[in-house]
Amino acid sequence: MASLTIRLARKFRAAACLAAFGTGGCGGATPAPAPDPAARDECILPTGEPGDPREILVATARSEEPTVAARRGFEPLIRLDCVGAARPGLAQSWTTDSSHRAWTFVFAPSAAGVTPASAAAEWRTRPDAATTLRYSGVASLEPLDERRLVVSLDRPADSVPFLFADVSLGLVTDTLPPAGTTFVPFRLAGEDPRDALDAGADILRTSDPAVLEYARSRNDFTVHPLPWSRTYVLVVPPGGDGLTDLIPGDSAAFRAGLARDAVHAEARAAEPPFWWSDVGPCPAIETREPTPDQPGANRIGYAREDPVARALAERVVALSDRSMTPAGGLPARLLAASLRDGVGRAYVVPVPRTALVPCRELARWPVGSVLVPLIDTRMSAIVRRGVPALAVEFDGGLRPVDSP
Amino acid sequence: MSFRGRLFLATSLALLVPLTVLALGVRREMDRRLSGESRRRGEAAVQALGAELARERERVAARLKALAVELSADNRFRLAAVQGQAASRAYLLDWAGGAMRLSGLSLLQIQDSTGRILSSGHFRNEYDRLRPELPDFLLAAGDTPALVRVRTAESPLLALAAAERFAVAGRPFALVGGIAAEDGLLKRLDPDPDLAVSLHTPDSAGTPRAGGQLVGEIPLPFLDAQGETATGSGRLVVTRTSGTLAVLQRGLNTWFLISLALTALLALGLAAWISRLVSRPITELAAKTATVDLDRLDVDFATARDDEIGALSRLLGAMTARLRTGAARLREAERRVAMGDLARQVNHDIKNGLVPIRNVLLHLEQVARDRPETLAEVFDQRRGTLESSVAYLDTLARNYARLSPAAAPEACDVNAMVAEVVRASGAAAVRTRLAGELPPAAADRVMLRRVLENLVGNAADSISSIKGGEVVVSTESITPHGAGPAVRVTIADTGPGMTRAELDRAFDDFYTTKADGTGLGLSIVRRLILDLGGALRIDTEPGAGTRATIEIPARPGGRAAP
Repeated sequence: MASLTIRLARKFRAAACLAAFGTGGCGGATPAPAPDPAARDECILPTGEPGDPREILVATARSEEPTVAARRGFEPLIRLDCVGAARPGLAQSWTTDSSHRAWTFVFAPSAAGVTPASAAAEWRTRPDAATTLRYSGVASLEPLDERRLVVSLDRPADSVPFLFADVSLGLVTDTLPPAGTTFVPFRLAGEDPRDALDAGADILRTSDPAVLEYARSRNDFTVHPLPWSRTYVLVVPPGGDGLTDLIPGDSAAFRAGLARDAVHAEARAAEPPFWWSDVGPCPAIETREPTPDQPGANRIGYAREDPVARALAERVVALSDRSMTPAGGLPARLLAASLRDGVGRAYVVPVPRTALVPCRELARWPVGSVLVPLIDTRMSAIVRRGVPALAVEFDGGLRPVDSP
Repeated sequence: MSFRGRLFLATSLALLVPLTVLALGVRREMDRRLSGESRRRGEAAVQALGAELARERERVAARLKALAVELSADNRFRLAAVQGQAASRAYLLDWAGGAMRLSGLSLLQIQDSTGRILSSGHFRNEYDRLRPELPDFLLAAGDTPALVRVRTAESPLLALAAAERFAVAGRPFALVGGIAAEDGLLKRLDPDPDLAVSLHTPDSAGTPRAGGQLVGEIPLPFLDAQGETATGSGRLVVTRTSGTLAVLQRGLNTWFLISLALTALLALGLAAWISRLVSRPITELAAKTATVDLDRLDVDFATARDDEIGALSRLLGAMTARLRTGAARLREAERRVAMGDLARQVNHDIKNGLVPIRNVLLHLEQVARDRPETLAEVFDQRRGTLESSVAYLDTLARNYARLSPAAAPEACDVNAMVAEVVRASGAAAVRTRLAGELPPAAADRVMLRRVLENLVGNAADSISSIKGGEVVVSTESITPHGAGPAVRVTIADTGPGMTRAELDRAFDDFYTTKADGTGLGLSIVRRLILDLGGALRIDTEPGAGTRATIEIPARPGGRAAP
């Protein structure tokens, strides 16, 4: 237990490595990465071979970001594959100087409509992109010519900065994906994801055992586990330390029990390393918005739409004595405000296994909070047979495989 | 206090007192009956609530019994709970939730023989907690409805619960189930919109809802199984809301007060009307009677009433008529005495007037005999004496002629006479408004003419100094109550009018306000009217003119003299 309970200090050490996959290390290469055939195969779902261009219907849950379910409509500078290795995106290669502070990205000729100058201009003006750059210690963006962009960092980076794989820095291009295959959103009509499969969706990501069992029972679908992408943690704001005593001493067995009995999702005991235990100093950026009220005060808060978080919060309540504050589900916006202000007794929230911009993630929690990792979860991709081959990215996102 | 006031007060009391007593009695009786009916309904509702609560508990127990039978035959439950098969554990953990939803319960729990929770529907992740006291308490309560408070993830749950034991492979298990005891159950139990049902646990406030009146209580065994176990007694409290009955009573009181006020107003109005109805003719009769004196016996007491007031009025009228006859006789006697005196006075005056004439005649006779040549001279000398004596006698004759007419009734054309008098008056401001069909009046033409001459002359004199003043002489045919047909002549002027004091003296002999008046006009008019058997009324007010009305008996069918 003690080894997994991490208190977020006010001063973080310098980030050394953000890779959090069990098999992953620090991604990226200098100079441009050479494709690794073995790793590439590992991150390609064995659904089918690249075929003729076609539209693939990707079911997206209401609470899910369409860009996470399927990479569509934007292109990052680099990509992270399912094991956390950097891959070319809009940039076909990158190099660094001897100081490892200046990184030069060479844009691919296929990046139609996007130039280093337009990318830099868009990042500077788009709020989410600008915030990401500030949290990441990007000092400057200098377009050299029509294909080269030089990025200067506050601190040296041993590998290519993963922040350029972040969704907030994605850029819209004028061309279709290389394979010519298009992802088309397929919004769920009802509450049950199985309705989407019955209505013709080609791809559905889910962790619901009932949905997965249904898909496995059908011959026209294949089910593929995706990377462990989330860790559910108990966030205890300052002043709520007593809650950590609820966790039994045998933390591994406790977490395994949680993963096995408490939730209806594919889960495992949370496994280290955890990126938040090794984050360097973060810039102080005031991004707070007015809090509408103090939602979730004296409760164990969780996102109302997240059944896993709800189940874990319930279990924490069940383990507490009578004086324990009950759980309370909150809408996502109110939960974010409550968590940021730390008005609740505790929160059960999911955090990404891999944080591309760690300081931005940490800013969502009150300083001095204690984080107790509980379980890791992952989704599985249900793919209709005959769908062209799909590449899996670090967060479980899917995209069409490049044309041969 | 006046007679009318006493009558008003007596009538008001006679109406108000019994009405008020009646209203108060009705209101009190209605209030008593409302309260009694409400109390009986409340008591019946409490009994019905107790029975309904027992039925709810029986329904919960029946559902638990059916679920226990189902579980006993469930292989996956057997594998998970008895054999400890890990693959079936998720099924066991989720079983209570599904069963709870399907059976319509709000609380469902499976415990093993040690009281360890194997599956919980209302709090899915409280598995493995020890709560043996929960089924023990419920089973000990037997068929008595019992309340338990258990935890859920987000809030405590108060439930009407029951327990059922069953065995699988010889191992005992317990099912605990219940329905939420608040909101839905209370609404279902609520028997009457006037009553409020609430649950009270030992740690909750024990007083009924504010403003409510306690109707009854049903004690319920209670177990608080949230943390440290605590037992006690809960209560299902039935209160009468202050709403409906109070609103009914307020409405009753409001309408009672409104009806009482309206009744009082009506009673006072009725009393005022009755007292006025009774006192008004008496007051009018008294006012008429007050005007009667020997000189004014032409007051009209005629009435159409058939009651005592009418009889009294007719008696006064008859009395006035008798007085009028007596007064006429008295005046006749007086007149005869006066005539005697007058005759003696006339005799004396005429003698006085004749003496100089006789003396002159004797002187002239002596001159004609003794000195005939000087007769013309002497006649001229004594001519003045003769003329002054004749003038004196002429004046004397005219004055006496104005005092004592002799009535000779005949059918008179009043319209023609009015027109003639108005024409002879020579006044341009005198107009006539004559009735078309007017019966002849039974009157002495000279007397009637003298009456009209006096009244028209007075009216014309009254406006002589007023610019724009006018006199209207109108005639009409009337038929007074209790009397024969008559002719009414009205002479109305816009002159200065008279004060009450002036009017009181207007009929006195030799009273006049005019510089050249004789003071005999109205006095003669009044006497002439009385002699004609008619009536005279003067309505006057300073600044508003004077209206003189005379009524002369008509002679129906008669032919009027021109």
